Amino acid sequence: MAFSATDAAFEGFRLTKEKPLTVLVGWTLAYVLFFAVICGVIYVTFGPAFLDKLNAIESAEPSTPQEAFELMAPLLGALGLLFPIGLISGAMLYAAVFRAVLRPQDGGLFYFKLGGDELRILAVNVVLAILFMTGIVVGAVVLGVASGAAGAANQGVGGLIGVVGGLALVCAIIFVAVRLSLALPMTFAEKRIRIFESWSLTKGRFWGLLGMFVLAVVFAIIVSILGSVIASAVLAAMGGGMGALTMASAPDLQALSNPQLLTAFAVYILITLVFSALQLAIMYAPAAAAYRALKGEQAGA
Amino acid sequence: MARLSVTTAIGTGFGLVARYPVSVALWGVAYFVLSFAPVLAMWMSAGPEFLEFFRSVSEASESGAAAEPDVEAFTALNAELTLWQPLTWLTSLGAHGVLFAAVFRAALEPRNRGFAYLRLGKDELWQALLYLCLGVFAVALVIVAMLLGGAGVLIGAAMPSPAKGWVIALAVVAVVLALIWVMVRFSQAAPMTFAEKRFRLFESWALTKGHSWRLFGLALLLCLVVLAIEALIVGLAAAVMFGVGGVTRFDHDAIEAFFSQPIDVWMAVLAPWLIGVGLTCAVLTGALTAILLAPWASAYRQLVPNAQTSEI
Repeated sequence: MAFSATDAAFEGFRLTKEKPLTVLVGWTLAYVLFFAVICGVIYVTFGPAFLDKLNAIESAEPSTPQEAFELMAPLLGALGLLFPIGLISGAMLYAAVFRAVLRPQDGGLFYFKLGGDELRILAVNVVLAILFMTGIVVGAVVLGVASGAAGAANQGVGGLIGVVGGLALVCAIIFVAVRLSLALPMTFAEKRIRIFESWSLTKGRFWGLLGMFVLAVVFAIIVSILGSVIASAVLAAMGGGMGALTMASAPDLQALSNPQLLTAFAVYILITLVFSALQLAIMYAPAAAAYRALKGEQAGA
Repeated sequence: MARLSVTTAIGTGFGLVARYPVSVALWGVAYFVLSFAPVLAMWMSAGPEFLEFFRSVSEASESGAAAEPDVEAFTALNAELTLWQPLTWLTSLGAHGVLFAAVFRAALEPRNRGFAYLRLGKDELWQALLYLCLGVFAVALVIVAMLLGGAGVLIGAAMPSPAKGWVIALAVVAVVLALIWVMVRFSQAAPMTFAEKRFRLFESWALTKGHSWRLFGLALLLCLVVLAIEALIVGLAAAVMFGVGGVTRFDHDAIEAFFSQPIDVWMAVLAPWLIGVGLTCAVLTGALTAILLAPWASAYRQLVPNAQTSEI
């Protein structure tokens, strides 16, 4: 099958149409589970009065580094637990979407597994994050030095190098990100860590892939807005009027002692998570579809 | 390679207006209703509270009371209006989808008439989605163009005097031309999406290859046509105001005095006028959209002669 950026961008919707139970129920349940784990970690770290403690951290004005550290210690502890959980859950979500698109015969519980595929995806994610952070930092430092050195001689030329160089750096980051964007589905499909192999697979396909990702982001934003409209309407209808909508922007735990509002808020969260699951398919599936099409073209050539 | 006739394309919209005047007027009315129905619902929901709020502020200021406006009440009202925004935004998008699909249906599938070519289905969904995506792409493109143009201007500004002006002018012209060229290359996305019954965007790039100049000519001609129509409308409106309406001069004080009355008073006076102008605009919107969009459908039919569409 030849690569079509437009068709690949729709892969998430196609997946949802073909496997609605997996996307809208299975992946929503996964989000509920991850959400519960995050809440559990926060609860265990801070205890029952966690909201008060979080508010205290937010409003505190420590005068010494020691005070700041003591205040932040529980938060750092929670982050230390949440960081690996986030990495593993992220890898599982990626792998589930890729499995549904590329190897549906593999099965698993709503395509979720925890094995070699997930570990390889986690590793590639970490390597890519380090690569990009290093690239950005090195690029910014080089640009800063060049701009500063030129600015010492001529202020206008220094500013010019800063602006033009900054634009060039952003373009370079986008270019590299798009060229390496198939590393994750490639790693999943070929069951080996693949990072720079994505570069040769995406050769001559930059604009198509960029268009595909931009379209996928636009679709995800539309779905997010649609989700918020539906969820807000349900919250207002079930929660006893427009006043209930304040729960969406600033949840008030005391107000949740009202059973009607509690039920409405729970349904609101559930609808939001269903749409998050849909966004997951919309955002991750196109890369898998692009990999399948480009690999097919390569094999056919 | 298929040959594209700009003169054939440019007349397509006028042909639709002449052939189906009632349908064209109904497109505008449908667009108007879909766009403003949620605004009306929003006004019915929050309008009375809003009017009450402004009345209380106005009364407080007239009585000389030093009472501060109720910020909390205003914030709550504002929050309610903000929550309506996504709905108005979505229906406005849907209205564009309905209008665009109706024009393309009339131009590409004239036998599929139904209710004035108006439907609410997959074609409309694709057109609305495409309209949104093209909007986002256009904004992104303009930002990129401004950044590149800005860089060009900066480079030009750093150059010695004789070359400075030329480099800046060249950078601006190059960016504007590039912007127009990209838009022209994407111009077939909408008719292509309608004709092929699936979302098409980047496919327009391949279809328009080798036809950029003629499509650019078509866009330029359409701009001139719209300018001429706008000039005609403004002329007619001026004639009505000064000739029939008896307006002889611009009285700033009278206008200020009129709008200093309570909002419900001046809204009641203006409402019939606003409805009349709205309906006129609705009918004109239908005609203008047909004149602007149908030529691209004609261009598509010329570029893809074997497309599964029926001739007018």
